[in-house]
Amino acid sequence: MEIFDALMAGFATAISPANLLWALVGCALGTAVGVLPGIGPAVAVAMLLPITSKVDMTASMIFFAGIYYGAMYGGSTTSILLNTPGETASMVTAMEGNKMAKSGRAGAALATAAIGSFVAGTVATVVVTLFAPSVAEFAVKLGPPEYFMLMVLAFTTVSAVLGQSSLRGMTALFVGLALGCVGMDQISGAARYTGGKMELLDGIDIVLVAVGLFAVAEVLYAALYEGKVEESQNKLTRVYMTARDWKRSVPAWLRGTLIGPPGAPRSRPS
Amino acid sequence: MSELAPSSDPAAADAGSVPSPFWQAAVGAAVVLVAAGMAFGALKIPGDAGYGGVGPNFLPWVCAAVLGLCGVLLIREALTGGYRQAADPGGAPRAALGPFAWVTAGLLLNAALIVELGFILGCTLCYALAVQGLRRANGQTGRLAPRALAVDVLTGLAISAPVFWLFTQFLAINLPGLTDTGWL
Repeated sequence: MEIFDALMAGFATAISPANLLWALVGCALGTAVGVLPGIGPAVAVAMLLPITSKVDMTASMIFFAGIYYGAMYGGSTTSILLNTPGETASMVTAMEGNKMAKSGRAGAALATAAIGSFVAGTVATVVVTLFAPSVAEFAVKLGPPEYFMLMVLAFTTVSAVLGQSSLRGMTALFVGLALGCVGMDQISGAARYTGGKMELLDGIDIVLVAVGLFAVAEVLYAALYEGKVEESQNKLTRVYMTARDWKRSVPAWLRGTLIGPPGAPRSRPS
Repeated sequence: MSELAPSSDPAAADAGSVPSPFWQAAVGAAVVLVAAGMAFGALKIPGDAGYGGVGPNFLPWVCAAVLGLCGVLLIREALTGGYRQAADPGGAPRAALGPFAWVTAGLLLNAALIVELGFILGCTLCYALAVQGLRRANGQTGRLAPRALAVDVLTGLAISAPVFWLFTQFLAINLPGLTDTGWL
């Protein structure tokens, strides 16, 4: 019950008008910054850290939470409208959301991303608060074998889910792993495939790969093959989600909410 | 990549812009080449296994082996009736290499000159060249007319300058500039 009381006290503090205003300002600022490729939530918070010296502590924590969630969401806007994901998390949004935008349903895509973000973010925060102590106990028991199995699971799902040919899926997966090999090995510190270039020691940034694959490739393909294609305006038919959109979105939000909280480690192949 | 290369086989024109088996096999060969490159590079990586049991050259070798296998299988698929379940990517059956060259030149020049020219001018140059390419792809005339050029350059400036100022002035992130003022 102690945790529950603490959670309620937290909500009571957060719900004061001034703090809600800080959350709003943080969300707006975070979304604006999150739209830029390469500036993820963590970087956005780090850049705006100096503001804590001007604001009281609770308000600045709320402000930062707003920035963090705003930046997490901001990446989805460019993914949906421009097919240019700003960070890892919004790559899947680019795959599905951009298709929706191209068929005139950008409004619905942006809406489902926003509402899904809100629902999953809110529920996940409560879940994490309630279960963090026990989950933390479990998490420290996970060792290298468990992480290895998680990676194997991730690889099999990637090659099975993406595309129709598992052979081409596997090829793409291992080309990606090969790119991930460039740089300093995280365990031994040995340089791999750097060719003596200091810049490559950091590895190849995921943002570079994402922008290259989604944005640059799109332009090159348009120049190569789609110049003569009759252009059509993808008319934005409506901004609101239909009953069918809601029906299709709710299960996806719930799945995301369930999968999100355990917090899969963002580890790189090493 | 070679997957985007034009299909020289007239029979392949029926299949939309899916590349001909020759180019599909070329993609497989490229994958084999990447695998060979990985293996060659892996020779130079130390293999001392620490407490982890595998050394830093383990994953590169795995990648090289799997990519080599995938490349061979891709070539086999290409030679025995083409890729399975190849979806038509849409677009024209033949690639327009001229526009492609313009867009690529824009990208490469931007990458090569951004440190000297600065972000704004570099990106404007990239934009102007890429738009030239896309105008050519579209078959537009009067592409190099002074008015069209001026519109392109001004649009490029109008896009890149605010982005540059947002980074340098608002977020205090250093981007390469022509001057050290943070405004150009």
